Amino acid sequence: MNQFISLTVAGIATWGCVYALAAMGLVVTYTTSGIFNFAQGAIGMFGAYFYWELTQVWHWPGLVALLVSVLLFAPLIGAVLELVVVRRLENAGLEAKLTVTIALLVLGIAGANAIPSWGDPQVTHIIPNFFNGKQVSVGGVNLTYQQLIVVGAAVLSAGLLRLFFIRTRAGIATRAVVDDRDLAALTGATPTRYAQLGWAMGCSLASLAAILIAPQQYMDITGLTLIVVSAYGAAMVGRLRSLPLTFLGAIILGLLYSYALGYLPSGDGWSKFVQVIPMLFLLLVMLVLPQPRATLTRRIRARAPRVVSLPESLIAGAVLVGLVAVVAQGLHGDNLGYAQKGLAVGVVMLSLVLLTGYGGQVSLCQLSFAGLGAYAMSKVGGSHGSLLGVLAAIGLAGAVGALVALPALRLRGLYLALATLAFAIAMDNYFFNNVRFFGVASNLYVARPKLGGLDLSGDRVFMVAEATVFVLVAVSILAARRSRFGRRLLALHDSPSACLTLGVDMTRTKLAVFTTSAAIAGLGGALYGGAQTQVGPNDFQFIFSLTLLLLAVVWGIRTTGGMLLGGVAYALSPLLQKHLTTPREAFGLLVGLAAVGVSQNPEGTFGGNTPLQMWRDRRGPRTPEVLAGIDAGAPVDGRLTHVAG
Amino acid sequence: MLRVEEVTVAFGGVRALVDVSLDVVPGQITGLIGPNGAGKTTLFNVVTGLQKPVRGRVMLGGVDVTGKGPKDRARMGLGRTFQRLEVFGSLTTLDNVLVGVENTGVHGQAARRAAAGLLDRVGIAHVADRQADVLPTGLARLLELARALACQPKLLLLDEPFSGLDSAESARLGDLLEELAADGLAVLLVEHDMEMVMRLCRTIYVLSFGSLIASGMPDEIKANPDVQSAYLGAPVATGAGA
Repeated sequence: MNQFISLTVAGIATWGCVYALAAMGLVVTYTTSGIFNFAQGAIGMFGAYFYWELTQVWHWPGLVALLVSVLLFAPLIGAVLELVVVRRLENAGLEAKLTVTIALLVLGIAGANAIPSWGDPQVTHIIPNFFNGKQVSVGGVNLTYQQLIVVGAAVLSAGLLRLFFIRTRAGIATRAVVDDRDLAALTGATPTRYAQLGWAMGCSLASLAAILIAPQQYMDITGLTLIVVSAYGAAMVGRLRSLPLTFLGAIILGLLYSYALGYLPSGDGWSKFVQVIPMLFLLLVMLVLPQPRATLTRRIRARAPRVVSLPESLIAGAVLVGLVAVVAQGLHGDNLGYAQKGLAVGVVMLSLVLLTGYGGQVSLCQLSFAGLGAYAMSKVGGSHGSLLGVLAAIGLAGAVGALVALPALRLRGLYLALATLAFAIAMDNYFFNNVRFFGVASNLYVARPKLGGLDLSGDRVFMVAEATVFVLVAVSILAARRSRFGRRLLALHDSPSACLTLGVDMTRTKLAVFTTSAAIAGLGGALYGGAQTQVGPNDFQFIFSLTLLLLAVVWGIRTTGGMLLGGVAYALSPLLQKHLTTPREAFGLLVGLAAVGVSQNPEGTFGGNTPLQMWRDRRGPRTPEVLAGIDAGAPVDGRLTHVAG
Repeated sequence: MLRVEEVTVAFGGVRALVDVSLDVVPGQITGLIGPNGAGKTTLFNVVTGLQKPVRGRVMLGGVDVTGKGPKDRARMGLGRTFQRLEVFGSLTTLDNVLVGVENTGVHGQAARRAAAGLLDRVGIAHVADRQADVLPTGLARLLELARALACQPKLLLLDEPFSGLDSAESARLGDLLEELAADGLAVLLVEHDMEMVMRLCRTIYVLSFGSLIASGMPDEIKANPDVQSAYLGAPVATGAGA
């Protein structure tokens, strides 16, 4: 009984109320700006590190540091981001909105690492409990002052927010802005000002959550960022709108987590499972709660990349394989390794062209599929790299992709992105960092495949083989683009509502594209493993999946050539780190900044208004050719048999 | 073909439609008019299944489809166009129509022929290979019509198809709609161009603030004082619109 009470207290006072603060911050940001801020965790983490800097390095008193961090520093970041980045997204499509805040997340993590005293692994980062963890007995139950402060902060914040939204003029105007932005603007309300206020409040709450939870866990940059991510499920209980339901969701999540910590056996497998609970909670909530109905889309007009013909793609592919064969002869040592890794990552990134570029389904877990591919190649391919291993890589990733797609059939847009993020983080915690799967040494040997008598284990031969696989996959994707499947995918991307009213079977299309894209990522993973000959948990971290998505968007997520460049850029990041030691994580900073810029050109560097495309546009329509290409002999009779009466 | 029975839709406390009933019969163009915000597009969304009514039912060809989703209704022969354009922007004009044609089980060259034929029929064959996103609004509306026809509908809901067209294009579209009705199609037309509505429709329903305030033949509607006042006193037949 005592254990139950103490776990309940911890569930509410240590975890639940912190989740509540973080989740309420997400809700406030979303309701005021219409944007789900993936970066909120990173901003919270910034607030916590800033607090650490003030208290531990500058030796400021705790309360002053707390007030400065939570009421000045974090809200300022939020307000500036709203002003500089978010405001430009007002009329952007959902994908641009998702990408930009994901970019801010990557940028935040890289930025924190780049600050010398924060990112230095030699420096110990500890935020002590308030009042040195002293306890007090309340009604026979022992509580630390820290826990009392956490509960007080959460309840006070919830109360103040409720008062703000219900009683104040600004709060009421904010709600009006959420209901109908244009209408509210007509009444004199200024939507952007309230969005800015919302971002400031959201960031303030996130930093408070991070500062209060920091003493309970090992303080590291990614870990603190994940505190807010863990609270996504609670925000979903409130459907990103209701603060009371969000609070309730947070308490339920906190209790679940605390009971699991206390009651589940302590073996390695179980402790991994406990870490995954917030993500499972998020997935469950999204599957159980009713989804918003299909709304008519608001897509920004963008110039789509030209559709490449089969001869063109074959010629370009042959040229690429030839070039790689020549270049491979001149590469040695690390450079050869970078090139191999780049081509493999390029194959993984091709999976995004199909899924996100064409199908509009934002996935944040493609590297998890790649990791499954590498795992299958290692276990089934054996030390000689049998072809069965490659098939297993494709099959395992495809099968898991189909499973992940099941919730995706119900979810759209933001919710789908969140579901894939939850899957990626769960895979990090439960699969990749698990000795049962990756062994005590945390790495797996992955052999390079043998195709019949053809041994691909040599570095240069393997590189040419990778290029060939890349070309085959790219040519297939471009062929799919020209096919009925490709048209359906783009139709699904551009207007799900119109698809519905045409009777298009979206379920089958979504399932097919998810499975195929996961299988491609799995194949890329097998190559990735082969390129490095061994893989470990760090290769497939969720944050790298985000980086891949950003790189794809930056280069043009509907272009296959862009994925090659993206893959190579990704593989070259260690080279950048080697030569550019300051700032640390320069690669993350670069990718993040570039992706933030993408809101101005959603089709990416090579996707939209390239000079070639604009020149083609100036040539005017080529209709006669198109119609001639259909069937010159057939009568073009609009009546046909279409109106059946 | 279509019967809407006492449909009510509420958004929070606001009732967008109140006990609306109407009939759309094959071989005729039926008009649905009313000022902006009267609930016309909401009614379209209810009929297509994108919006659930809190009360009432929707019958399609004698079958109650209230509980069915948009996909099933489309497969029962319901096609529509949208007031706020919903073209597949990154596809070409021809490919937009192909998506519809291919969904009926026609593939390959036959599908392309059918799609090209439909573009020709609505008069936009000259932009067949243009990306739909860059089409002017009027042509994009015609594209939505061609795409809807590609699914071989028995009932067609058109949401302001004439807006954005010049007078020659409008006249041509008017003729086309009459042809379609003569072929046996049931058409429900939402339109602000009163002249066109009066010319094409045999029956007209008038919505105002979510309620039906009148229904009847064009002459009856023109003479109806409630309709006149709903249109701010403007004489209906002049085509002043709302």
